Amino acid sequence: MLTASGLRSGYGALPVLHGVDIAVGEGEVVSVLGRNGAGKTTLLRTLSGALAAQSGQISVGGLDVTRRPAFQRARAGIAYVPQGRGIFGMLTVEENLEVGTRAAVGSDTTDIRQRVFQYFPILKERSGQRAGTFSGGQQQMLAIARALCGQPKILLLDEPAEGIQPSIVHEIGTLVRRLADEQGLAVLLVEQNLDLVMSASSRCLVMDKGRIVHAIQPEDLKDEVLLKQFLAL
Amino acid sequence: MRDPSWLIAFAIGLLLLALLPTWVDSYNLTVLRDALIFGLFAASLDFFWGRTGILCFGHSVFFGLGAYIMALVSMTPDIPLPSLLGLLAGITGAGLLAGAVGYFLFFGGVRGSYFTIVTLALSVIAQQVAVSWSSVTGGDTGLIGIPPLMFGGLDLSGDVASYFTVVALLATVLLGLWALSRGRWGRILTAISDNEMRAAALGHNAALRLTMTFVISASTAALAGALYVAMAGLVAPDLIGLLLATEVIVWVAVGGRGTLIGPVVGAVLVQRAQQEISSFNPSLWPLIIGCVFVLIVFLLPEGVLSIGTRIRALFRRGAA
Repeated sequence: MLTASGLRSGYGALPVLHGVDIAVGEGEVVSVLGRNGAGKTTLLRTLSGALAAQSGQISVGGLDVTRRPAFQRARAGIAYVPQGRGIFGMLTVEENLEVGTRAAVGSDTTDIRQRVFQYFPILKERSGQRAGTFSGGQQQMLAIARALCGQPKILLLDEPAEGIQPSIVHEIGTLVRRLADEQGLAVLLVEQNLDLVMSASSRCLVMDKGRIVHAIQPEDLKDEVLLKQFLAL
Repeated sequence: MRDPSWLIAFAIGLLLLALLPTWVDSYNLTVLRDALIFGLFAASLDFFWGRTGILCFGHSVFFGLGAYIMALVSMTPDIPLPSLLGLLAGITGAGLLAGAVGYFLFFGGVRGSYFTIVTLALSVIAQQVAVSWSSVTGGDTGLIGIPPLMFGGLDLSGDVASYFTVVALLATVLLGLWALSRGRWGRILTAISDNEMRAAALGHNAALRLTMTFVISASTAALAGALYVAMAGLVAPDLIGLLLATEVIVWVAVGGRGTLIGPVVGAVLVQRAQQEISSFNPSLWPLIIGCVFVLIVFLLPEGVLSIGTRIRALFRRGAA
């Protein structure tokens, strides 16, 4: 569904990604692990279009989007939930979701919202509430729900568990897995929380210094020796 | 903005304005008419500034452009429907200029205070052009003898007729802008002003949306400018310059940014105060308006219309 090859990017003269190859298939949850500064967030930013690729290629379901701006990539099917969530605090839940439907070209937006609410009963209960008044966990849920309103093919999640209580982290893990299984969504998950990674992922990639250095199975994360070797934790 | 009080205020205001000619003399009526035109201008700025959070410090450029184009077109001899063509040309001209400015600035990634500074420079340039290009604009003295509004056989030049024309146009445009900012358009603008990158990640073309909003805002300002010259009968460089650009910001701030109706009230109140104060001491006015502006920003940052909400909040606290 999503493929990137030889992807290089960075900030000004500072290169961060040194040729990343990655492929995420339909219904697959691929986690990216790695130390701080390995380039995980930069990878997601480059894929979503927040940061321009210096070279390499990104394609969504066969469509080359490497040179497309962020809003067109969203319409092509890439949904990006950045770190820190970025919900629109001044808008209500319902309005946040409505704004999220732009990328779902040609679909009935009310219908989409009803379907998205099925996965997020708590949001439905509070659909008229200002999103800025939500707790971190609820905001994270809303950010994911809003991304789904664009009817994406690929969901890019950047540390959804950051600063969120364990029970909600678990809930997010289950939800991501369900979305992949039931909707065939391709998910690329950048995460430091190993419990979330283990409960949601189909496979894991380890990044270091701007490259993918290992491909491992989620079960391998239980192995302390392997963990030390891969993540130098 | 979300509650029905906006519509109630709007309806009461409209009723008052409609009944006013029965007891106000024709001089005061024309004064109010002109103030309402500037109110329309203030609302046009508020539609952009209030919703996007980006301040345009050169909105007088669009007001002035509408004014000059209206003057030039309607003074062209032997032209059919001079008023209508003048209005349309003025609105289109300002819309095109705003489109060009928006294209280069918004698509070029210029936002926030940089946008404000560039538009500020634009108003200085526009005033300079209006003064220097005297063969067309009449230079410092401007152009006089601009014909009043006439649509075919319909003569709207009388005091009462022109007053009602302005009230009707103001009400229509306000309702239109209100509907836009209340609906999906307004929500997307709120999202963009909150976090543009996130809005783009959801598929919104922020630069295009901002440019379109700017074009609507500028065209509305041009409509106000064109109306003004048709009523006043003259156009001069002070309709395009920095002073007017500053004044309109004060009107919006006094009335309450982001409320649309507030800026109209602000424009009328401030201009009324300006006349009263200038009549006994002309040099005192700039000092007073400066102080009032500072006080408003500190004491009523949401504008004079928020006084009602504040009083209600006080009563509620007292009752509890």
